[in-house]
Amino acid sequence: MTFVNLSMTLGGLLIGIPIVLHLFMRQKPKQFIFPAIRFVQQRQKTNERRLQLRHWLLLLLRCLAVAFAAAALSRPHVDSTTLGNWLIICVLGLLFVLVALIWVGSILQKRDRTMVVSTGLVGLFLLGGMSALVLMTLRHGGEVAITSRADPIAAVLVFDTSSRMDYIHENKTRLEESKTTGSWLLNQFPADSDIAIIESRAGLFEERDNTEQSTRATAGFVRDRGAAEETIRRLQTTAVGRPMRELLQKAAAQAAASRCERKEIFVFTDLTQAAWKTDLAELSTATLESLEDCELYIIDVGAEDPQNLSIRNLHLSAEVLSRNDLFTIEAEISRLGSYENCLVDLQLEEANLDLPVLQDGKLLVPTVQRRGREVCNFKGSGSQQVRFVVRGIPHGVHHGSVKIIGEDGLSVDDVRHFSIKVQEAWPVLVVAPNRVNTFLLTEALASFEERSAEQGSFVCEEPISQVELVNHSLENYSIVCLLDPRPLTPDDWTQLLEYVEGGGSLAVFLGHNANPTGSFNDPIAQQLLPGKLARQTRNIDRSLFLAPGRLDHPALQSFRSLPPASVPWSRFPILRHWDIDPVGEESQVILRYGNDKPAILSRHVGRGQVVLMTTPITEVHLPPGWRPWNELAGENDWPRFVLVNDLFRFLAEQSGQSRLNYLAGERVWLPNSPLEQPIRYQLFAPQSQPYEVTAFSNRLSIQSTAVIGAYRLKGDRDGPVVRGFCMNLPEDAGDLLRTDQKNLDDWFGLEGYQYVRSREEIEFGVRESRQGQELYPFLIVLLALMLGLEQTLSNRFYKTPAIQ
Amino acid sequence: MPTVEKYLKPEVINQIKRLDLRAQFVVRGFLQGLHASPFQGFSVEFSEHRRYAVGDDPKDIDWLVYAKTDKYYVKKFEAETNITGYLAMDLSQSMGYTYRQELSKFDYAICLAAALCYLMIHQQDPVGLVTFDERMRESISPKSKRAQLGHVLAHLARLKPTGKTDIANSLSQIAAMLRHKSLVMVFSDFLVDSGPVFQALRQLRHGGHDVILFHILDEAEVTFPFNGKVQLEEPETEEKIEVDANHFRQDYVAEVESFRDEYRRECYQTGVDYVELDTSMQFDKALLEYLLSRRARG
Repeated sequence: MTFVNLSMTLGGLLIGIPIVLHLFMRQKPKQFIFPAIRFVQQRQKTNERRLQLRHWLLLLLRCLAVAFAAAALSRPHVDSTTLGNWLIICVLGLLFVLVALIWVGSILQKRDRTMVVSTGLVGLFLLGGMSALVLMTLRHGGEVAITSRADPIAAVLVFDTSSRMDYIHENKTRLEESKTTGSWLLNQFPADSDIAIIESRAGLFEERDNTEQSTRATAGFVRDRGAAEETIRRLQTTAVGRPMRELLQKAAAQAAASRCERKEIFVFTDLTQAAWKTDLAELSTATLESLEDCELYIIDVGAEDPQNLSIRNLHLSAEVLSRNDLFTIEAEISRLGSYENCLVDLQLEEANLDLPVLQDGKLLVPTVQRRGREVCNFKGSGSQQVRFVVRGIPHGVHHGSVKIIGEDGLSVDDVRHFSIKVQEAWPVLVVAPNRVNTFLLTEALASFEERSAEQGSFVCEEPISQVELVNHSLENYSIVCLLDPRPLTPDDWTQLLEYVEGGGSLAVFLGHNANPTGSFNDPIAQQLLPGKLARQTRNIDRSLFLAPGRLDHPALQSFRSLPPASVPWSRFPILRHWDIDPVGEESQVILRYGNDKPAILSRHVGRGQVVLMTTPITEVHLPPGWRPWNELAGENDWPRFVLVNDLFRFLAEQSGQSRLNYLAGERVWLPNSPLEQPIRYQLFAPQSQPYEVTAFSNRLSIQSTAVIGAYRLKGDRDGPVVRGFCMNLPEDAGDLLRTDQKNLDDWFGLEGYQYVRSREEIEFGVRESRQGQELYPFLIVLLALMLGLEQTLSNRFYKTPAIQ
Repeated sequence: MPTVEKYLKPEVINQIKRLDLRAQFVVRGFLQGLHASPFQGFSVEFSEHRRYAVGDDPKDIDWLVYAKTDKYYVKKFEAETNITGYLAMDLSQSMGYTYRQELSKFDYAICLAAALCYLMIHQQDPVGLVTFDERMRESISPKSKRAQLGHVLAHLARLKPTGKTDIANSLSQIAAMLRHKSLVMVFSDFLVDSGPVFQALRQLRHGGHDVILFHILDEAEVTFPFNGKVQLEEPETEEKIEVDANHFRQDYVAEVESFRDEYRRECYQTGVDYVELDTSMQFDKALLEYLLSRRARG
């Protein structure tokens, strides 16, 4: 319980006035001679007792009236949670006064003893109940704080500055609305209040330990409102927003560090599902306890009915592709609101080794060309896929974007950037023992026509025999393929291991020659292979086939776009295969046989990738005496053709190439070969001046990636070298779908927070929670009741009876 | 329209200082209220009223009496009997009290007694006077001569209310004194314990006497007109008591009524006529009561 004018409670001492008047200021009686005094004597005692009761009752009412007047003027406030108790106390008090009146009345009117006793007991019961409730309420919720509203508080203002806050509603972005309200709120705080501003943007200390975060948090308070206002004014949206859980944890720690009695946390949010993800349920116990000590205000600045188009996700067919590859890009367009359709453009920069360059303070970048436009017709659904196919992209690094044409409330999610690298055809080295047919494989990867026209994605040099491997340099190959290998020597395995760890890709097709298995199960080999070779499984009744289940592995990309029934696997029986047992923990099964045993496995080793198939892929024209292990190669064997190309494309994309497309805020690691690439680059980041980055340990590390867009690296080694990558928003960055307020109830409890939208609601909520529920109106009503009752009873008691 | 009826009002009769004139005016005023002419049938012809019975001439019904008593009475114009009356005056100090009226209880009683004396003498009834306080003090033997009137009135005019009273004892003495059946008219406020008084009344009745109790209280003693906090002092005992008059009035009036009820009940049981009077009332009520009693004896 708090008082606005605590000194006015001293007015309660005025209760003494009616008491003094009652006890000491009695009226002096007029004297009369009266012979019939015997008639007076008969009833004088009864009358005197009745009068005393009346006087005491009136005295009680007058004292209560004075007390209520003093209490009302002191403007008491109670915790809202205990308001119900106080109202019950008032009702009990009124009932008590009522019962007391009935009790006195029954005595005055000489009702029977049962009535007097029963009303007396009820009165005592009410008095007892009221007293107990008062004690309980004071003990539970309300130590009587001798404070006033002017006492300083600790206020932590949490601003959601994620990209969604750029949504424009009523000509203001949500962040602008937050800043306006926040600045106004600053002026509502009592003087000398501790004020802290927390925003979504990740700070430099984010990667430090929690202890240091706490230390920083305690130092975050300012008492200068001007400084706080300036901080709010400078707030900007960021593509790298910390989750709300983290903001709340920091705010709770910040508030807990203040010495102020009263702590308040104001969270400015658009209340979207993306902002309030379910990870809020993971709030630590310490945070929840800290929040319980604070008044938490969720200030909803979001639009209740947002209208927005956004590109949720881009799916590139490859980030690194050969010059002759088809480049496909799929974009998921999502709508919120009443949009029926929209136009989506694909834009791609031309490759230009001279650009970017800073000229007269202006950044010149390669020319952007529109390479496609699609109409996205939603047809009643919430999202639609848009697909672009581009051919003949020239060699080099290209930056591009998919963009929604037109304007909507949130523009930052209308564009998605991408970067791709186009290089010449992938060089493949096929290693096979003598008598193993390599023709089918090389022909599948690059046919004669493609080789002639230099249009193939792969370039297969002349296969080498297995014995030549140890003396052959593998650096220039993207993929090395072991076709039906014999047991390899440890040196061979070591060489292959170094190659793969350095970023190369290895494809192994086991078959007839993998006996004995000791070499393949050698520790060095097992650092490379996805599992141990156990035994061979034979299937003589031709009932075993490849049985693709889920096609979510990137190595099966082509099959994913085909109807499952359209691939005639049953025409290509598997007669024998190796069992891999056990499969290594780091391995992944890409494809299985019908007997559920793994057919194709992959393993990530170092910076490279290994794919192992447990049956040969080229079982035609076998040496005499060899029985085929499968019939994958034959007439109309297009599934084998597609499978080989998919596997090799997967390996090619994995071979020593780093990602080029990242989410904003991610640390970027780019491999950098000192033999072929420069060590120093100039980094042209969006919205930033170029600065130099240097490669260490054969890689470039770039940390400042909070801004979305294309990042361009320009170096020089025997001529200009241009590289690059790009940053995008998270998939749900433009998701303005609002969360249900019930979730807030679940996280914080019904009494744990206050949801407010307008300034009036903030004022009301703050006043109510800071000062509690004001009892002034109730006390005034009680005062009026007491005065009215006193007046009524006085008139009744002191009414002069008519003289007959 | 000034008439002699105005002399029935105490405040008017107070302006007349001579007691004989007071008595004369009261009686005339009373009789004028009963008859069309104040002197018609008076003294010679008019004797008394008696209850109407079958066979009486309806034209003899006194409609004024009917109006006041709601009973049929016929006038008798000849004196058929004589009745010996005693006026018993209470001389207690409390009788001298008035709060705001023109006449004290004693003045009122004297005036009433004088009127009755006047009336009785003119009806040729012998009338005597007895005064008492704690005991019987003086007495004048009843006579019906004209001179008796002056004698009694002169004595009444000299009386003063002083001292304490013992009504029961006094009435017992009166009862012992009376040799013949008489009409004893007691003028008192009866502010004493009622039990002994009732005993004395029964003694009088046992002696064959008719008794009329004129219970005279001051108007203030009936209505309790005080306001606020008052301290009341009993003049005889000097006992004091404080009450809040406003809140006590109702109780007081109830108590007075209870007291009168007690007398009313006891008098009814013993055959005593009980006339409640206060000093603000007209005299005709008392006179009429006398006439009714006179008729009953006739």
